[in-house]
Amino acid sequence: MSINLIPGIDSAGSALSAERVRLNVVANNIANASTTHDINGKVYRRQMVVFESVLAQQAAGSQVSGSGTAAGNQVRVREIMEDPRPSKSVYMPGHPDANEQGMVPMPNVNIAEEMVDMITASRSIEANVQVITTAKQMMQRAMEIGKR
Amino acid sequence: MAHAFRILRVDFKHPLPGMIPALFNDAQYQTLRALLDVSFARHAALAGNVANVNTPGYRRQDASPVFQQELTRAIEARDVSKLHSLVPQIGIDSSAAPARMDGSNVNLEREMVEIAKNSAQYEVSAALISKRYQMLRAAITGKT
Repeated sequence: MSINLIPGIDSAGSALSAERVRLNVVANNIANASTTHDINGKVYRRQMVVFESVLAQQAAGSQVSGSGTAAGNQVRVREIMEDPRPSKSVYMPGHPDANEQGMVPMPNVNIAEEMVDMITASRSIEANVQVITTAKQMMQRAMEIGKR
Repeated sequence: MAHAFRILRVDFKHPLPGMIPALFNDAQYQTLRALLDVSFARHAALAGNVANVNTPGYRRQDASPVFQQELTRAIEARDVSKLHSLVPQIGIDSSAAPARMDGSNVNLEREMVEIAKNSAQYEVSAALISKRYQMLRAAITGKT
């Protein structure tokens, strides 16, 4: 493990990449909100991101000697799973994906839900950027110790 | 080779003999140094909390209460050797507010406020240590 000069920058950085994955998934969901025929020939199902926290020691992949307490927890995406909620069907006879009754299964994507997820992710990114800015300021102050 | 490395290890409990330790072994300097260490470790812990704000089941972390008590006691008693040997301890904050629906008890507003307070404490400690060095330099050189 390298010496950590900027406190918490690994945690905040891991959160930035995890939230970016979430933003990508949200964009994917919104883009496919009306996709009735995905690459498997089935109706598109909403994707969900599951986060999990990782101890910094685990992330480094080895036991940390010394105190090992100065490193904060990181976050990572455990999995991207399909939303199990049922999808609704719309009556559209003549649609290539319609069944015998003329019903077409639609994706279980709710645009309002996706927008809320998007805002949560973007606010979380802002908070983590603020944490990094503060950490950089702290390091700056440490460098100025002893200066005139 | 083992000996070559041993030389590099400095035992801070018994620092350099002579006059120099006297300049840095007083309670004020050691308090500021300990506060810098604590702020540094706490910022990492708080950053971990902000990073996990959307992680289900996450419990927020902070400086452990036992360590906080030890630090407060050492500062009040002006116990130089205790301040010297204290290592910041980070642990799960059991006093935090009850968990949200998803089992996480991170409150983003609270974490940001704590980060602001903590970094202010870091800056104050750093500025005061800096002042001490300036005074020392002034005393040595006679120039300000």
